Amino acid sequence: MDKITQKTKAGPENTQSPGFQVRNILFVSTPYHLPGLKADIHPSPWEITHAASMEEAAARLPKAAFDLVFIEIEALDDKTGMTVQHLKTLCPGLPVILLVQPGPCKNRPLEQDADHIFIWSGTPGIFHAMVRFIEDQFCKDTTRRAVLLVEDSLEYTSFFLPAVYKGIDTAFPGARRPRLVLAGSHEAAMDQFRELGNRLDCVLSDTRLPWQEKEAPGAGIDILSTIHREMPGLPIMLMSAEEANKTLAQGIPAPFLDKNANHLDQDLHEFFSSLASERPAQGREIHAKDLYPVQTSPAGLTRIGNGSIGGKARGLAFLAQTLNRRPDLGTAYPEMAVNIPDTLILCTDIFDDFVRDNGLARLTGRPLAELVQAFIDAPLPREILRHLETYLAATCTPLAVRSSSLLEDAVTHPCAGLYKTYMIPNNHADPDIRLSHLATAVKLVYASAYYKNARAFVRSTTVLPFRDSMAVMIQEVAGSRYKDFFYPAISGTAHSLNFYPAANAKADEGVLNLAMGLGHTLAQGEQSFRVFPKHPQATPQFSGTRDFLEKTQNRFYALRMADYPETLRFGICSNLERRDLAQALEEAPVKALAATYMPAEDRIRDTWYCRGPKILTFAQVLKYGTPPLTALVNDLMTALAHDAGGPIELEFTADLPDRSGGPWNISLLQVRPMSSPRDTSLITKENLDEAVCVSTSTLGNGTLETIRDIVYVNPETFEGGKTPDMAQQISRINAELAKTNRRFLLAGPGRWGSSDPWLGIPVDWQQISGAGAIVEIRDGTIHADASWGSHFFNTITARGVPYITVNPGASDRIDLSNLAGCRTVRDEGFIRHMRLNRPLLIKVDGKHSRSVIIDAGKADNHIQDE
Amino acid sequence: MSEELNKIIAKDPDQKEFHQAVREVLETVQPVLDRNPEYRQSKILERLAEPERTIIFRVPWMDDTGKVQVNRGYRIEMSSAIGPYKGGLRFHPSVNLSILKFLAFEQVFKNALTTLPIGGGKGGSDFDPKGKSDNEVMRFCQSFMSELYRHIGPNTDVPAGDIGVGGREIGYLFGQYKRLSNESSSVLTGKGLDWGGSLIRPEATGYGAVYFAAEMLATRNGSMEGKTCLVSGSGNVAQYTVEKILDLGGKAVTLSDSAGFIYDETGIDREKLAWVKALKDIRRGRIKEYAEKYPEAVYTEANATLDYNPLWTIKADCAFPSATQNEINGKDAGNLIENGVFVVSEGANMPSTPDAVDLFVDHKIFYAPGKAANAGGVAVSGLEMSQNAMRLAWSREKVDKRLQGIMKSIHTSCVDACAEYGEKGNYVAGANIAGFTKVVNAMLDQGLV
Repeated sequence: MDKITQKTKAGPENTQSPGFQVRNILFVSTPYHLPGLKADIHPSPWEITHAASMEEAAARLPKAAFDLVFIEIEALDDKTGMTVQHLKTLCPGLPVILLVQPGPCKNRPLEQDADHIFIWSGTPGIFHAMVRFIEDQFCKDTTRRAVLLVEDSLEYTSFFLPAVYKGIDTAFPGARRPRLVLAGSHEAAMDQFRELGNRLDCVLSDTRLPWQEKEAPGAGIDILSTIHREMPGLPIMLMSAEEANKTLAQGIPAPFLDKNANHLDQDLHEFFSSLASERPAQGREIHAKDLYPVQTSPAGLTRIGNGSIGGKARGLAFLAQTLNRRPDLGTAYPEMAVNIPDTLILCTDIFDDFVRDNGLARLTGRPLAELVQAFIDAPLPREILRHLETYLAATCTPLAVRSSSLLEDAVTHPCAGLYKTYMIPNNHADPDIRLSHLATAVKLVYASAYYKNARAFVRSTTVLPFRDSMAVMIQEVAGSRYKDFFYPAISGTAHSLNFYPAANAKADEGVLNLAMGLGHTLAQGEQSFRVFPKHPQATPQFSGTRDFLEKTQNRFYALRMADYPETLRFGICSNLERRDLAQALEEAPVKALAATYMPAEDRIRDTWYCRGPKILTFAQVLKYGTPPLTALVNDLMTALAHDAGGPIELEFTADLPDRSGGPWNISLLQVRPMSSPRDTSLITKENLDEAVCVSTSTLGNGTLETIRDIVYVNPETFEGGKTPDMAQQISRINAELAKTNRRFLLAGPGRWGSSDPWLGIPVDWQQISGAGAIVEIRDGTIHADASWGSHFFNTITARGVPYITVNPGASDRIDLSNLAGCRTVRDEGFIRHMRLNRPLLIKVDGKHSRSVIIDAGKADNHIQDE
Repeated sequence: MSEELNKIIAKDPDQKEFHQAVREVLETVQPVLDRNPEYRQSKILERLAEPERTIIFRVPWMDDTGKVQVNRGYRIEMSSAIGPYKGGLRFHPSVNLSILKFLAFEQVFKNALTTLPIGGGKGGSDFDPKGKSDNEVMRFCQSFMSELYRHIGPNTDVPAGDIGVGGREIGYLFGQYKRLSNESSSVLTGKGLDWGGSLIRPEATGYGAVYFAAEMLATRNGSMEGKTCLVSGSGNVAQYTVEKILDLGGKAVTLSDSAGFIYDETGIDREKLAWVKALKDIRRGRIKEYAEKYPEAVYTEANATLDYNPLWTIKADCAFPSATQNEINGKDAGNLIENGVFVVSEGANMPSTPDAVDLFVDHKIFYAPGKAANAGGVAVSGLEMSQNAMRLAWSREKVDKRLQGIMKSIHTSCVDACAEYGEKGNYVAGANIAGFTKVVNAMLDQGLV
C-alpha cells in the first residue's frame, strides 16, 4: 500500500488569508477523463480549466490565477517528460494534488513533489472533499476547531476524506465547522495533538502506523490511549483492518471501526451521528427539491441525482463528446447512421440513499434469494418513481437497465459484465406494470452490487475501503422486432489494440468481434466472429469449411417481446432468450448475414439463398462491404483512441435498415480505455536476466501470478512417432488437475493441437483445458513451422491464454530444468507434471509480443541471499 | 528387409515420416516378399520407395496488401502401375517432402485395393489457408496450377482435395487448369455438382464401411439384418453409417461426440437419425441433447481419467468406430469381444491402436481395417472420373450401387489374398497383401520402367 507523501508547503498568495477559498482549478488529464470529471463534480462551484498535457498545463499556469492543480497520473506520461516539479517552479506554493486510479500502483513512480496524492475512484464527493481539505490546510484561522484523522494508507485516506467530511457536516452543522487534519504516523499524530489540544473535536486513528521509522502494529493504540488519558472527554475511535484489534480498542477504551466491514461508511456515519446527538441541535435545512434535480446534457444523456454517474456512463459521456467534436465521424458513410441511444442515468447517490434508507447493507453475505427479495421489496423513493414514470411516458422501446458502478470500467479494472444488465420489453399495455418492471430492474441492478462475485471483485482490486457504489443507466435497446423477439442484427466489440494478431494484421490495427443478436454472446465469451478491421476479408479463426461449421456462432440472444409473465422473468438471463440460429432462419438478420454450406461440394456459398445448413459468416458486411462497417469502426477506433490518449474498447450494435430502405443503424453503446500493457506487463531488464523463459513471439497480454503447476514434454524421453500417446498422458494429467481447478503451464515441442502427429502433439482443447499459458518450443525436436496458437485460436483469444513461441537462440530461451522448490507430482513417461512451492510470474507485453516466465521463488531466494 | 530400409534411409536421412511409412508396409508384407523371390530380385521395394516423379516448384503470389509471397508446391507422382496417379492436394504449413512422400506411398496401396484402375500420388503446398481472404486463396491456387497444369491430365494424374483443399480451392484450381490447357476434362475430383462432381460424396465413407461389414457377414451366410451395432462419432461418417445400417435392416444403438455418448437400446430409427442430422449439421448441438429429446436413451459423459471408453462395453454384434484416431485401445478391444461384438468395421482413420488390432486378429473376429473399410471416399473419387470420362452424371442410386460393387470387390480381394497366404479371415493381412501384390505384379508385368 502506498504511503501518503504529505508535505506542508507555503501556499500561493491568496492562500494566506484566513478564509481561503478555491475558485480556479487547473485539471491536467488525458482527454478521456475530462467528461467523467465534469460529470463527477457536477454541479461545479469552481471554474475549471482543462489541460490535456503537462506541457499545456505549463503554458496555462502563468495566464490565470489558479488556486489548485489536479494532475491525473496518466497525464504525466506525455512525451515531454515534464514533472510536477516543473509546474511548481513556475508557480511556487501552488497546491498540487496527484490523482491515481484505484488498483495496484506499485509499479508507478509516484511523484514526490505533489502536496497530496489521492485515489480518484469516483467516490461521491471526493472532489469536494479534496478541495475542502486543501482549503482547510491553508486556513490560517488559529481558533478554528479540528478533527484529527490518523491514517497512513493512500487508499483509506482517499476513502475516508469524503466520509469524514460528511460526518463533520452531520455532527457539526453550522458555519464554524471543524477542519480536517491528517497525520500519517505516530509522531505526526502526537505533534498535531499537542498543537491542537482542546481545539480538537474528535480523533480517529488507524492501528498499524509508522512509528520511529518502522511499521508499528500498536501505534494507534498508543496514540489514543495517551489522548484518552490526557483528555478523557474527547471522542475517539480506533480503526483497523484486523478484527483482533477490537479487544485492544475496548482496553483504551474506544469504539472500534472494522475497516473490512461492508457497512464501513454507515458505521462511520453512526459515529458522527452519535457526536451530533450529544450536542444541541442547530437545525439543518433540507430542500427536497434539491435532492434529485434532473439535468439534461446536450448528448442525450439525462441524469437524475447529484452523485457520480459511474464508470460506464463516464465512457458514454466521453463518447458523446468525441462525436460532438467530430461531426464527420457519424456522417462519412451514407449507408450507416451513427447514434448514441438515449440514456437516463440514476446517479450513485440514489443507490447510496436507497441502500441506507432500507438498511440493505446489513444483508451482505446473505443467501442470494433472500438478498434479491429484500432489494425488490424495498421501495424506491416516490420522487424517483415520478421521474421514471415521466421517462416511460415518452419511451416505448425496449430498455436495457445497466449498472454503471464506480469501479466498473475504471482504467485499471476492465470488469465489463461483472454487474447485471437487465433488459425489459417495455411494451405492456398497462403503464403501471411497465413502471414496476423498470423499478424492479433498477433494484435488481442495485442488488447485483451485493452479489458474492461482485464483492469478491471489489476486494480483489486492493482498494479495500471502496465499497462500490452504483449508478444505473437506462438505455433504449437498439434493434428490431422479429415476431416475438427483439434484437439487433449485429453486436460488436472493437479493441484498438490486438494482442492476438495473425496473418497480415498488426497489433495496433485492432480487432473486432461480431455476433448476431444481443451483445450477451460477446460478454459471455461465446462463439463470435473475429475479424481484423483493416483486413476484413481474412478469417483468422478458420482454416477450412470444417472450421466454419464447428466454430461459427449458432446461438444468439434476443429479448422476448410477447407471452412473458406479468412479473417478467428476472432470473436467469433476465428476459433474454438464447435462441438457436435454426429457429430464426427466416428472420431478416439471418438472411442478411448467413452463408450456406453445401455438403455435397464441401464448400460455403456466401448467400442465404440456396439449400443447406446456414453458417453465420457476416460475408455480406465483411467481404462485400454492404455496409462498410469495418471502415466505420476503423475511423471510430482511431478517433476515440486518439482522444482518449490510449487504446480503447468500443461496444456497438448495427441494425438492418427498415423496410423503406435507408441506412443501417449503428448505435455506440460504450467506450472504455483498454488496460494499458505498461501497467500490467512491463518487462524490465532485470526480468529478462532472471527469466527461465524468454520469448519474442508471444500472443496475449498481461501478467499471470497464480500458476504453480507445469506440465511439460520431457525432452529426454521424446519419440517422434509417439505424440498421440503424449496427448493421452496430458489428457490424464489435465483431468486430474481439473478436479482441483488448478491451471498449469503447458510446454513442449511442435505445434500444439496439430492434427498431424508428426508436427506436434495432437491434443484437442478438452485435453488441455486447464492450460493457463502454453509454450511451443521450436528447438528442432519437431520440424514444423510455428503454429501461432492457430489450433486453439478461438479459445485462447476468448480466455486470454498467452501462447508463447520460443525459438531458442539469440533472443529466446527456455530452461525449466532448474526451478527452485519444484517437485515431480506425476511422471507419465513422456509427460511430466511438476509443482512449484510458489507461483511462476508470467509477464506478456502484448504490444511488443514479448514475454518472460520468471521463477518467483528463485527471485526471492536471490533477494534473501543479498 | 532392414538392408533395403537402410538404403532408403541413407538416401534421405531426414525424411522420418516417410521411413516410418515404408517400414510399416515392409512389416505387413513380409510373407509376400518371403514367398516371391522375384520381388527382391527386381528390387521392387527400392523402386516402390522412389517416386516415379517428384515435382517441386515455386508458387509466387501477391497478398491483399500487395506484398509478394512465395510458397513451395509439390506433386509426388508415386506410382502409375495400375492407372493415372491419384491422390489429394494438401495446403497446410506442415507440408514438406517427407510428409507428402509418406502420404503418397500409402495412397498407392490404398488406391490399388479399391480395384479401380488408379495409381497413387500426393501433392500440395506449405501455404496456410487460415486467415487468407477468398482473393488470396484464389491467387495462390491460380499460381499453383500455373505450374502444376503441365504435369497432370485425365490420363496422367488426377489430384483431389485433402486438408486445406475443399470445394472452393478445387474450383479455383480447375478454373485455372481449364484456362491454361484449353480443356475441360476430368483433371481434378471433388468438383462442384454442376460442373462434373459426383453425388454420394459425403455418404461414401459411412456407406462403404457398412457394405464391407455386410460382405464379411455374408461369408458366413449372415447379413446386417437384426444386428445390433455400436457407432461412435456423430459426424458425416457416423450419420451415414447409421443410415446404411438401417437400410440393411440392422439396429444402431449408440452415437457420440467429444463430450460423451448416448445409448438408445430401442435403436436409432430414421426419424431419430433425421433429428441427429439437424442437431449436428444445423443446430450444431451436443449429442447429449439426444437423451433429452428421447428419454429412452441414456447419456454417459466422457471421462478422461478412465483408461477405456464405456461406449465399447455395450452388448452388441457389430462396431463401427467412426469418430477419430486411436478411439479403441487394447482394453476397449477386450471389452468389445467380451460383449459379443464379432464385426468391427473402421469408418474412421486408424481408430484402433496396434494392441487392439492384435486382439481382434487373435480372436479371429471380423475386423475390417480402415484401409479397406473406409475406401468408400476414394471409390467415389474414382467414380467421378468414370462419369466425367463418359460425360454422364449418374443418379444417387447408381453411384450407391457402384459403391456397393466396389466395396464387394475390395472385400473379395482381401479374402482371397489372406487365404492365399494362409491367413484365412485375417482382413488386416488381406488388405495389406492385396493392395501390395496388385501394384507389384503390375510393375513386374510392365517391365523395368
